[in-house]
Amino acid sequence: MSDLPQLQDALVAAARRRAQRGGPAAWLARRGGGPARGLVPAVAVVAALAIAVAMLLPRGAAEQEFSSAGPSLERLAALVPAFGRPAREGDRPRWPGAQRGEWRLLGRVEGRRGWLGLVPASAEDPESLCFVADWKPWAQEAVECRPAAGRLGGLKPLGVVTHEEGRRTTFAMAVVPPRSDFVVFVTAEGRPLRVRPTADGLVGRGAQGGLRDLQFKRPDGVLSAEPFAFREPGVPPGLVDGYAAWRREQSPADRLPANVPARARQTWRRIGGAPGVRQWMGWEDAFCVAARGSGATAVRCVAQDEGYGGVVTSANRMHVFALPDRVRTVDIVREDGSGDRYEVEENGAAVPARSGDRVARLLDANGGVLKCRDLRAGGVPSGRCR
Amino acid sequence: VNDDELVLATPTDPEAFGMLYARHERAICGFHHRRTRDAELAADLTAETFATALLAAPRFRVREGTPAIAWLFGIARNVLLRSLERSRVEDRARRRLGMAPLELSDADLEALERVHADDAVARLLATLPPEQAAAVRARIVDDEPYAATAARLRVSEAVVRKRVSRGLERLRSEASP
Repeated sequence: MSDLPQLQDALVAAARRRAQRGGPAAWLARRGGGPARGLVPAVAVVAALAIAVAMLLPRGAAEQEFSSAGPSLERLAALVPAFGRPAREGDRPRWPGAQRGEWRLLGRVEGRRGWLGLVPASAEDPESLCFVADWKPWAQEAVECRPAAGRLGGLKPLGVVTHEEGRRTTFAMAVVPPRSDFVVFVTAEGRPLRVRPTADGLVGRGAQGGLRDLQFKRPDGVLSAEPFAFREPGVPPGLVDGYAAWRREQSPADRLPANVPARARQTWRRIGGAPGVRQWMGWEDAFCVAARGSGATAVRCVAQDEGYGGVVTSANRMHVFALPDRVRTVDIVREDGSGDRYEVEENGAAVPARSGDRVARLLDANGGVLKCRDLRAGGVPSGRCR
Repeated sequence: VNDDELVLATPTDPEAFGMLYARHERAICGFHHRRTRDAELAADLTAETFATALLAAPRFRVREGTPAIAWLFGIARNVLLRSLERSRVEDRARRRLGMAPLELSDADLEALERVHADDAVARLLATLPPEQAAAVRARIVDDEPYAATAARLRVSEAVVRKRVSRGLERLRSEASP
């Protein structure tokens, strides 16, 4: 049984096409021309010789293959540093245009090893960005770069790229403000794919069958059909003029609850959280987080002596602590004195909690206990941190 | 029908090439997988290898001592080396044949990884004496309890433990530089 039946089918189909076009004689006739074409037979002889030489090479190589282990991985790796491994920060594709501009690794795309970059469309116009995707870093194949400036509400650095071979996988990328909530890519079939931007505000997505559209959600959670001006540190100045908007009718369930304090409205994000429950979280004057359930009941977040975490008080059964990015593990002490340890999600940290729970310790990726000053240095808003 | 005959028949009988592919796909894919450690890459290189072979089939001549499988592996090696030199997977033959790029799902890739991981285990175990290989496979690969293996092989549990221990020791010594 074949492990790659689709390849077998494609090869047999190709063989069938070639058989229909004629056998070796027809092939030679096409390559070398007919006897009435003067110099062409001589060309055919030279071509035949070249083919014969070429045929000898693989055969010799095959014998070598059987007699030795072949080239070592180390030697291959020395030949091509990026071969056989996922792209790393600092890597850069090798096609000519990639020498310009800045490349950033965005991690995996649709479960594949992939990286995305952005290059200026021209040296004279550095703000005219387009995106280049390299979905197989080892292949280093160029992709078409098609800026979609203005197409979606004036968001300049937005491009839908299609592989040069017209692969069915299409990538869409965008620069979004780092604190934006999420980006929705819409597949050709209309299925939404939600993606969280990376910390630097870049996001990319590919989908079998292609992508049809991008939709964005404002960071304050309000879905609007109108693009709005937005500036955020970390996004190249002059590049982001606005957001694209949802194209569909707003859903009441997607609106930020009305009782969120005004000062916190800009920093609230909706999260997935507990199954079946739409939740919101955000921070007020500290990074302490409140959460709410589907009933839009107000909750309160009280900062702790250590300056992090908080006690969530609410009638709701399930709440969520949101934590600074550096936090990788959180120890929670329950009201009854028992404790639980949670690994924090990569995207920013949500852990389930109940009313009365208290954050006991926050640990970084190395297991170190984070103190208030550590969190402050990491960009946590000051206030309750003491 | 041997491999030589399949290659010779290919220009006029497309199914012959399909048979050749089915016979050697796993070996060629394994060849590339061993050198790249990447299922997706190995699959693309396999596609290019067979596409090149299909194009070259009309020029294939039977030579004593050089079976068609050697010819095929020679093509595989050339495809791999050309890909390395160019820092991208060679795909000229595939394009020339008008074949679409392979679209592999994550499930396909996982299946390929499993197949070739199993092959790697089989190659390792083949270096052991049969009784040690059987014991190591039962205990380490199949996770069979010692008692069950002992009953199945009709030896004492102590013997099975000794065989596993010796087998692992031998693999360890062969794997160390």
